[in-house]
Amino acid sequence: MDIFNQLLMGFSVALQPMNIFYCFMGCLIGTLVGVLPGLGPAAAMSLLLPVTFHVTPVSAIIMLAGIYYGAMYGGSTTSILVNIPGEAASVVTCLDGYQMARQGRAGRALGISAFGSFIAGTLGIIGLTLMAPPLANFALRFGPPEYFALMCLGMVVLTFLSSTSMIQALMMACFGLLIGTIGTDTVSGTSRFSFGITELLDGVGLVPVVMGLFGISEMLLNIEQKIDREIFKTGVKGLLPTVQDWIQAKGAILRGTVLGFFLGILPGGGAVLSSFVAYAVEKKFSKYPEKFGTGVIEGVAAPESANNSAAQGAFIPLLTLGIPSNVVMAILLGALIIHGVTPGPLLLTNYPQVFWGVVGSMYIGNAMLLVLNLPLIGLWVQLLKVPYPVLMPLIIIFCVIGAYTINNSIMDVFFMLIFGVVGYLMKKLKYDAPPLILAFVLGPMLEYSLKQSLMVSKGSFKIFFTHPISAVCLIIALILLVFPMIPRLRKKRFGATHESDIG
Amino acid sequence: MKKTYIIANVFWLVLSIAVCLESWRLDVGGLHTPGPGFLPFYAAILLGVLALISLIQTLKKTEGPATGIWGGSVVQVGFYAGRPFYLRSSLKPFGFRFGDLSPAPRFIPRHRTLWMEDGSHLFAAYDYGDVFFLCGPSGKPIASGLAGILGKPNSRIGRAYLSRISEFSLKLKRNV
Repeated sequence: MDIFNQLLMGFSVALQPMNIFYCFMGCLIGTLVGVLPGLGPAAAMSLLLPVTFHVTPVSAIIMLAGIYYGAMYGGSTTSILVNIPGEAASVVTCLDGYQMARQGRAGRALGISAFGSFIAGTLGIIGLTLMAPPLANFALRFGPPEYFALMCLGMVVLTFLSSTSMIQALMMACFGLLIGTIGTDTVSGTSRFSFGITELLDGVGLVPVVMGLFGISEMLLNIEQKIDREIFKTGVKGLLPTVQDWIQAKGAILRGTVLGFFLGILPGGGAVLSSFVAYAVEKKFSKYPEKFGTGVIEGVAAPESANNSAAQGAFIPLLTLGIPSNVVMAILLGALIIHGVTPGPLLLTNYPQVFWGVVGSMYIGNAMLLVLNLPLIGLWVQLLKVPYPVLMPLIIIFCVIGAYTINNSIMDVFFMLIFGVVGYLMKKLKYDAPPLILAFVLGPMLEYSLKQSLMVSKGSFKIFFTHPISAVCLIIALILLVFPMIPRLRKKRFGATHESDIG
Repeated sequence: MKKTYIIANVFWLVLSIAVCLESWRLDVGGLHTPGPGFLPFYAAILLGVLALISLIQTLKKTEGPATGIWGGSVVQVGFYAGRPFYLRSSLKPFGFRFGDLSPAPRFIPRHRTLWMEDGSHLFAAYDYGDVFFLCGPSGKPIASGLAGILGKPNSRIGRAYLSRISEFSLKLKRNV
């Protein structure tokens, strides 16, 4: 019953007027960035991080979390109506969603994705509520070797799942680690790679890096291409799915939810992966897999449910272990640290109001999002009509202001622009940014736990293999590293098998 | 594009060397007492190695499907030759389907290996015909379950392969 008492306490925190306001703002902004293609939750959260500096940690995290799961809702709208994914987790929704819209069933597609998201989101939070406390308890037994192994596993999984060559993804992870080492060494106090620049003594900030890699670079790419945004002309009506739709989609929603939740917990997993997997699984379960891609309602319900429950599941490793499982969680980790809250197994005992307040706000936020997304859908469609030449400069201005206000330092703006160019080149050359960010955030923690473990074991690597949890994690990581070296299996990493292996 | 990738990989190589040198100056330290340059040094070495592999891959790449890290005819021939012996040693302890998950043929494009694989199956199965009883003629034990997780058991090649195996094992059963 303890959990319920705690949850009630969480609701009492989340229902404070200010927190409701921040939750609403988070959901609203989340939906906004979800709807707008080219701006994902990662960029939006880093953009708004400075805004949260003057509020309490609870409100800040509530708002940032709201942006994340709000974007999961919003992304489907663009996918269905414009056939451009609003954010990465909605890529698969385009396949069937747009086809449904073309057949005049846009309303029902939007409806089922919103309801599916709501159901999955709520179930995901229930899962989070029930699973996080025992896990945090368990994690109290973790020492440096376990943390090191878990972080390694997280990074390897993320590179394993990257859409491009794994070698390139690993290179990006190494590069991220190197960027993470810039600044003062925590153990010895030596300054490293700071080239005499005072601002670099503290390391490169997370916000400029993320905003550069995800925000600025996206804008630079958009300059190149003329996105043809043809919004579906037919009116959006009949948002409530019919009984038959429900019968068709209920299995998909439930399967998507469960799958998404557990893939969300997985280090390196998250919303994007889970939406792909949910779609593939649904296709396999379906009695008519050949119809997928022609406007099947399950093809919308499954990935949308999966990405929402994954968004909730992803909070578990962050809030219980202090290890972010994906880029967005990495930013949240940064936010928690900035606010003086140390994420980890002790978060639940030391800052119960933060943990339970955020969980409570998620229940409220999900309900808000349903309201925001269904009746206000017309508004979001209008928003898509804002021309890019107006939108892009605005986003860049916000990025510059955001980067400057963190430390009132122009150096941060320069760093952001540098990383914007780096990100642009990386996108051009198909180097993945997420492994870089994750390694960059985990780098200092990884180094610290590695050094600690080595000092404890007096320089023996055996310590990582005598502790069962770390041994299992490292072995899994090793298997994942070797796996793609086998070309025939490599193609299957993303389920992207093509006819090529038939020959 | 090839040229761009060559430049990119050379850039990573140079970067990794520079970081290595700087970390060396910062003091890498030993395993007992890792110094401030410890992590950057090894991360840079890893980056350099990866960049080198990537560079070699890029240089070797011709138009067409990408080859694996361990591609190259010498290696392939080695695996072709080693395959029957591998199967011989793995079938008995692990069972047919499981032993079949050996890495060897997966280095080589499918169409070139089918005949070879069948040949080696035959060779191995001739020695250990009894193994087939363990998996049953058309049952779907571990391997197809794994295939389901890893990829597409229902793809044309998957079905063809499974049916071929079951036919093959039936035949052998009769003979034994």
